[in-house]
Amino acid sequence: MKITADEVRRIATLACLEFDAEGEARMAVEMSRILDYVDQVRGAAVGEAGAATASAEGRTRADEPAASLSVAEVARAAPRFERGHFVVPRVIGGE
Amino acid sequence: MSDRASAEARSAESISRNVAGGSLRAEDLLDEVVSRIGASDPKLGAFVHFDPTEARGALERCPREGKLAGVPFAAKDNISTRGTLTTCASRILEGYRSPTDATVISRLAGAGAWVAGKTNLDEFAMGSSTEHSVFGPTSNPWDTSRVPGGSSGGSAAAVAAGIVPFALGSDTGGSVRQPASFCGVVGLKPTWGRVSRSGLVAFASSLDQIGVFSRSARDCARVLGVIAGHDPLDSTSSLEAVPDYEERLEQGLGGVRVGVVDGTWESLDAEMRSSFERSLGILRSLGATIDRVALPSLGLSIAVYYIVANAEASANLARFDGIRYGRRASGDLSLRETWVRSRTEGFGDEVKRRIMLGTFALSSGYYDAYYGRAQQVRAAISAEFRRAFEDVDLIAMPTTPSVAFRKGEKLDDPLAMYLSDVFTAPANLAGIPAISVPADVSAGGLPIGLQFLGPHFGESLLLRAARAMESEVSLPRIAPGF
Repeated sequence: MKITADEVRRIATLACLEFDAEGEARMAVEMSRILDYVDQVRGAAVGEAGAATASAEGRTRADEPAASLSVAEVARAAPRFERGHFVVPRVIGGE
Repeated sequence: MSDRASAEARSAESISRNVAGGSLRAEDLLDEVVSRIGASDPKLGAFVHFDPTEARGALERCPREGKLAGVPFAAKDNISTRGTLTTCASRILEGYRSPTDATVISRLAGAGAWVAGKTNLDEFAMGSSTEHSVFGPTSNPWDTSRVPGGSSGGSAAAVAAGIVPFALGSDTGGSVRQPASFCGVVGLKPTWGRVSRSGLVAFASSLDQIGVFSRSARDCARVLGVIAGHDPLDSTSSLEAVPDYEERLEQGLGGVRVGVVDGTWESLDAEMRSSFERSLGILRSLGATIDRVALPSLGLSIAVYYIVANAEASANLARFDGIRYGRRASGDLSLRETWVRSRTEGFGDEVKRRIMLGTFALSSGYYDAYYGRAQQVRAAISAEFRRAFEDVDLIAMPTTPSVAFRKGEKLDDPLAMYLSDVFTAPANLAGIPAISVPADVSAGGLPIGLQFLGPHFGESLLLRAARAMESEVSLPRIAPGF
């Protein structure tokens, strides 16, 4: 699977990442090589067992209020936190 | 004191017995750990956060009784420890202090064990050599020019160098077993769901499992007994009862049916192949029968693994956006620029590569061909293991295709690095337990591990097999020179 620099840019936009021209070129080469290897799954004969996809069983607990993190504890980990809120750049009218 | 006697004296079992009995002061153990880290860690780089004051605090909060009374341990730095640094060896979590303990940490503390420090890893547990860390690489205690394996290389090195009796790691594709093999210690990946993942920073949630490093099967069994069991904070943790893993440890392998998988070991280099064949001979001498089993889809494991794991990683790591925790890019930036710059500056090359591959596999037009197909092959691999365990009790396999490689040897070749997980990733895909136990030493003086895989919740038999193996092979339990 050949990945182009354009394709790297498209995926980087989805992934919220950025590469310079050299980084894009390197990523295109590395991704192409790795995808060439993993491409073998596309033609694999999986038989009946593989008809169903793997899934994990989970269970939910009762929806009961319980102690949780305090606002102060959350605030301590945040890069910017003021008056009970995470501070982010202006969104409305900002972009 | 002989190596073995010294290792015995430093075992979790011995320390807890003596602390509970009053013949050993837990406070003296802190001094010992400080001294060992001071003497060994400059050569190894196993610890990324060690603060004697914080370690003393952890020690003082623990009871002096319980199955692990007074026992120090190390935790991989992607396992949350309340109030202390948890960075995942990433710039994006620089300075991050977790507000909570992972469930494994609180369970160990309840049994009397205390966190001595946090250990190095490949950033976000993505790697097989502990070279992809913002803190720099960790060295293998057996040969400091070589890698300790990864991603839990710091934990493996800390145990192999005799700094702590046991350590926690996480195993998503072999990140406990491969470094255990490279460093000559026991490494267990439990069944997916056997141990709570609450507080483990997620990499690939359907594959991640917290595991144990120790210098003996007995210590491994004891630690697993403490950390296993359902946790309301992890809805995927199992309700299956936790057995006494130490109870049947000495029962040997008489009559146990061991499977070997066609196509897994025949193509290894001569030294690794003959080591594996020697191990099979030991298993036979212990009374086990050896039968061939077929796992036709096993050869696809690495391809499947690197699609599924990266897809899940790309989703899990979306939470690191510079807003709620971690590092935020500075400057007059829009919201999107803040996300993009924080992530671009905060993640290392290997993490970016995996996020890119995972995003690609989940993107429109490719999802069915890659992610959907990989999940189907994964289901086929699981079914093949289920069928194999109808005929054998456990499967023996090399843990790694080679001994520990040299630092830098695979850094520029990501695919070659990925292929070092060829024997370990299958257990993660199938969710089954697996253990690596020291089995041999190469002509060059490097440890070689043997891996046992078992059916879901078959940890008791794996530990029994590991115990039987270690009773037959006489290897240093602490790396020479430490």
